[in-house]
Amino acid sequence: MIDFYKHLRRIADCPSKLYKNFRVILLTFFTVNSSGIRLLRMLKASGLMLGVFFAFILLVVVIVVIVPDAREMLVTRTPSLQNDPSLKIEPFYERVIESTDKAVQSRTRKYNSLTPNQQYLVVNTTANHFFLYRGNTLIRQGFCSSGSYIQLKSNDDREWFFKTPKGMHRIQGKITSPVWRRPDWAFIEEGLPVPSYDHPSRYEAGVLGDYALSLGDGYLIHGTIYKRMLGMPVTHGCIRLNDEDLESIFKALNVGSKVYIY
Amino acid sequence: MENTNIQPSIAERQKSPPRKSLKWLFRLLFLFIAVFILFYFIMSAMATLRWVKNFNKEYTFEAPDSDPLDPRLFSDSAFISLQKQLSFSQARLDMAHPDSIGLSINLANSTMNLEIEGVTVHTTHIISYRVSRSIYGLDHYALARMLSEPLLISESSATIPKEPIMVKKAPKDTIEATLPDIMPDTSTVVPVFFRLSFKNDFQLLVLQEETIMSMQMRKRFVFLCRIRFANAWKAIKDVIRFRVPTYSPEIRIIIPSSDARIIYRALPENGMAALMV
Repeated sequence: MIDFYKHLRRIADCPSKLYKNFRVILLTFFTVNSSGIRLLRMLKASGLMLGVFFAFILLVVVIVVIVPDAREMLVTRTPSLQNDPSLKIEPFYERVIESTDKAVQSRTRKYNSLTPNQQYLVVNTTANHFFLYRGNTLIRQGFCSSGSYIQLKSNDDREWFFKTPKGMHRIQGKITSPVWRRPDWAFIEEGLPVPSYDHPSRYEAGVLGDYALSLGDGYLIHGTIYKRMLGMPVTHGCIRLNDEDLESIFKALNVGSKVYIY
Repeated sequence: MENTNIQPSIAERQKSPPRKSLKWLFRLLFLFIAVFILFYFIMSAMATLRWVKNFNKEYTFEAPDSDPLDPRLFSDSAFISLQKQLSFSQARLDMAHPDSIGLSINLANSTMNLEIEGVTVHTTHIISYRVSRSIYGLDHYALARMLSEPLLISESSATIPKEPIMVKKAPKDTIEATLPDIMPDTSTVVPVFFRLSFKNDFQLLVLQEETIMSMQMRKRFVFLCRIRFANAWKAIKDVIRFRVPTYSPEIRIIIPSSDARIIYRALPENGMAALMV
């Protein structure tokens, strides 16, 4: 067998920098090929580096995983709860239990009274679903569309954020056959010049459906001509519904009815 | 001649004194690391035990001397069960006051609700949960008492953005307006894992139900690693300053993916949560 190892050692003495840089790799490669003993030698040499590497990994595992989990093992568990019959015959026991129970019931009643007895609407803006309730009874549910979360930036440094406001809102007004008065962003978004405040091109009938319910601050619950977009977040902050759902919600909710948006 | 030039140089290198000093250096380093780990463990254990002790001390019941209560009452199952219910109801009532979206977590009946002004708007079933062992070391009454107030969210992190905001530059003309320029929100396919840190050191980890999809497993691993590394880094910084690190007990909850996304998106940055353990 040709002793590549011996041969390469001779080459390694060459003054060329390139050879000096690569000689370790070449020597290693040919050592592995030439004999198993040399492989062991190489492992011994590189063992130090491997040892350091594994020690580092072990250190990380100990600090990040083992210690945080192990420290909790030192906590002694609180003795489990008792059902002591001797306590139950004490005169104060019944009094304490009764008063605590009354306090629980009173708070539960108070909490339950917060749910409106009238119809109210719940809108889930993540799944784009709506739920119409009366008390705790679900009357109707379906798809809707809510704010797209688009932040529109105009060339004259104006900004609009198309997001449906979350929280509790009340119906501020009910409109039949609404006409949409297009705001500035509706023109800017389409690359059109913004007309004057009362320009006829701002008014568009039919695009909001047959009904609209106002939530205040310009936000509406209305119909849509883009019915296939229902269930997706595509609006400018309003809540869009299909014609049938809109009609039942319009009839069910009154001015002052609550709308919960989350 | 060439041969004789190389052979001694390698031999010299193998038996050179720096090698020996390197060995000593490694031995010293190993000793230093071992001592540090021991110190780190002692300080971490102290942090946990101290947290439990302080918690029990802060929230335990102190009866007035004029009207002492039987101590057996505080280990009575019926009394403690009622106290827990009372605390949970009180916390939910307090949470209902401000115009905000709150989260109520009932581990006893495995439900998690989103609530707005006392109205439950969304309910999800908790598939499984795990509570830090230190919580079981707390006094039953002290824990019930602490949970009678809603927990305030101080920090949150997740694999999805809270609001999937997309910035759109206004088009110059109608032709440019027709071009699709908005990247779709891909967060609907991204696995949802989120962490809520509360002001009283509690941490809530919400993980979506596990599946065998490799992307989900990888995301979950990375998310949990990131939390562990962040906690460890914080603890190390305290330990090297000879300070007892802060301890945060953890509640880990697994819920369906769609619900995890809805809950995280709905909760405000500094929202509130009511908890029943």
